[in-house]
Amino acid sequence: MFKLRNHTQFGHHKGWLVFTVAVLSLALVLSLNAGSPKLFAEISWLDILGEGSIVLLTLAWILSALASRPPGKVTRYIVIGLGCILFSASLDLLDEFLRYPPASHWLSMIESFPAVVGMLVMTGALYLWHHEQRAINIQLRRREWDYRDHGEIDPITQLYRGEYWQARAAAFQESGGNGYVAIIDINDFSYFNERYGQAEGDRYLHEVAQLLIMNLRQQDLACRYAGDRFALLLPDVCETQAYNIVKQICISIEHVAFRHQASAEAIYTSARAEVAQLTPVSHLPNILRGMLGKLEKGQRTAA
Amino acid sequence: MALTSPPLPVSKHDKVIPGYHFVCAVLAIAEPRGVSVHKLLRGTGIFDDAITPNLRVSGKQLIALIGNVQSYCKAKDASFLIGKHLANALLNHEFSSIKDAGSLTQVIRLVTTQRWLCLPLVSFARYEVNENSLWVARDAMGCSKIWPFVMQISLSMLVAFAKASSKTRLPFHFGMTASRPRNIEDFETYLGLRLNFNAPFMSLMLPKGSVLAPFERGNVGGEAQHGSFVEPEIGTHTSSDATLSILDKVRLLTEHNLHASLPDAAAEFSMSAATFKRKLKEHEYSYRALTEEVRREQAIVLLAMKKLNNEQSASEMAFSDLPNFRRAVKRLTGHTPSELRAL
Repeated sequence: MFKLRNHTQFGHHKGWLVFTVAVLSLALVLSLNAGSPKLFAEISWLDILGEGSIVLLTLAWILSALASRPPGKVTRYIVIGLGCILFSASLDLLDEFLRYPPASHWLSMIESFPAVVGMLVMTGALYLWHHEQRAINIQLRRREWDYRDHGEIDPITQLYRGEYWQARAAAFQESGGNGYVAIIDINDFSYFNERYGQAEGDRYLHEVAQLLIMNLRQQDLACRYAGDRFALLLPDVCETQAYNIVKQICISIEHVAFRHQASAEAIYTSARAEVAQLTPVSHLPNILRGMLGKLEKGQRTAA
Repeated sequence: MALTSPPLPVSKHDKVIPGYHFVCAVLAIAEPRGVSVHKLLRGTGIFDDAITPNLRVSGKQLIALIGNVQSYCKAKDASFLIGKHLANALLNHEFSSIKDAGSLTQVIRLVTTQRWLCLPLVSFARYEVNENSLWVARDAMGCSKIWPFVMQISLSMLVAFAKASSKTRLPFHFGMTASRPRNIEDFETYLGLRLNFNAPFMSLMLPKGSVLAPFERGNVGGEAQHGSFVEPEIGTHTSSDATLSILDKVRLLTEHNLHASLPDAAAEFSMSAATFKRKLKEHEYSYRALTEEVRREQAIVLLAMKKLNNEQSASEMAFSDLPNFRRAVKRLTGHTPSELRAL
């Protein structure tokens, strides 16, 4: 069955989870060794509420960073930085419960220093993160355009859906861009699903999505419009170039020998496409309707 | 005598729906999208090992199953895919003769007689509106929250039937009660471009010509005009209570006798008024809600679609005086008759 697994990253971070526990334990051991408990009446619960929340939230940040990020330099610095802040915050919280003898005043003197170090490390980490994100943005070219909304990503093809495409096309028009849009429709895809099963159909769409990405220029955008339809946005091309790109994509779809998982038999499909010009003054919904209408008519005559 | 008594209309709890293809279609779409079979069947009373071609389920069970897909399956096009998958399964089995049907009328007849196989939760009221045939969808089992999802499944299935029989995309017009959805692309791809949102009821409409005209079978030749389409046996069973749900039957009664009271209707079912009320409540309906739904539908079809004048409409709806008619229309639709005609 075609399934994309996407678990949390905790499995790769056992060492850092131990580090986090160690930071908390160290703070606990140091302050318990040095201090003695305060009287109940001396304890300020309001301070505990505030400082306790800082400890818990810092801990939550560490865990969410570990859950979502793969191991690497940026993750390492983020956790070290947050770990230092966690250490300071825990000492701060514990001295609400404990009274230190004069000999142990050094402990409350230094308690804020790890936080400063932690924030410096975090600043460095964020700077590295910025570089990392720029590298990832290049990887995401042709899949994503200057707006991120992970809820809109189609799980089957890992492309954005039609709604995203329309929003980007509209933004592109507003910025005064000229270009072409295209809708590509796989022929007889319901027959494909019926014959080879839904799971194979989904896998096929996934492969076609990869193929589209491969066939586009860096500045183009590919989305899964809906069902077996894909939408393209091709900025700054002339008519012949746009038609060529789309024609070549249709040709490469025809040449894909898709292997059925069970029988290894090669399955060939074809696609048809509609291309239209997009100018800052054109009305996108009308263009889209026109293209979809033509695609439906094409289906009628092809039958 | 149990054997000789006429079959009663089907209620929500009767396990009479041959739901094998329906359940399989739901599982086939939802499972690869990350919803486990266990989760899908939870609370439905359908068991994994009972999913065989002999499976019989109740409307309540199907509604629970669809409720589970709707809440666990995040794919926005799941409903349309389920409908398409169901259509394909039926076209390969019980409905294989659809591919050879001579006209849409034959397809409609098959779908009507075999409604428990394909449309267990929806029934359609057909109206002839000028040059078009209009089918207004009615909730047959009390779907409440999942009604829009059920309609998406059903419409996508019917479109697939029409396409399999006519080999073209027929010019369906769809009316949807919801406002324009965020995933409009899915609606356009699976149903077509003729979509009307914020409509007074869920409906589909086709030019009469498309319904009656024989399909062109270009390369097959004259022989196929009669085809191997197997006419379903139409005897006394077609409109018998066995193809109706309780809600369908009540609506039919009120359609034919608009002034039937609750005790009258209960008598038709040989039930006491209290039992009848309880029965309807199990279907998430009251008698009043049902009759008003039918009348509202009639008022909109007569005035807003057929553009009949007040006298004609009032007599069609069995109102004896016009002021009463106008008041009733305003109460049911929120518009006066002239406002409706202007729509």
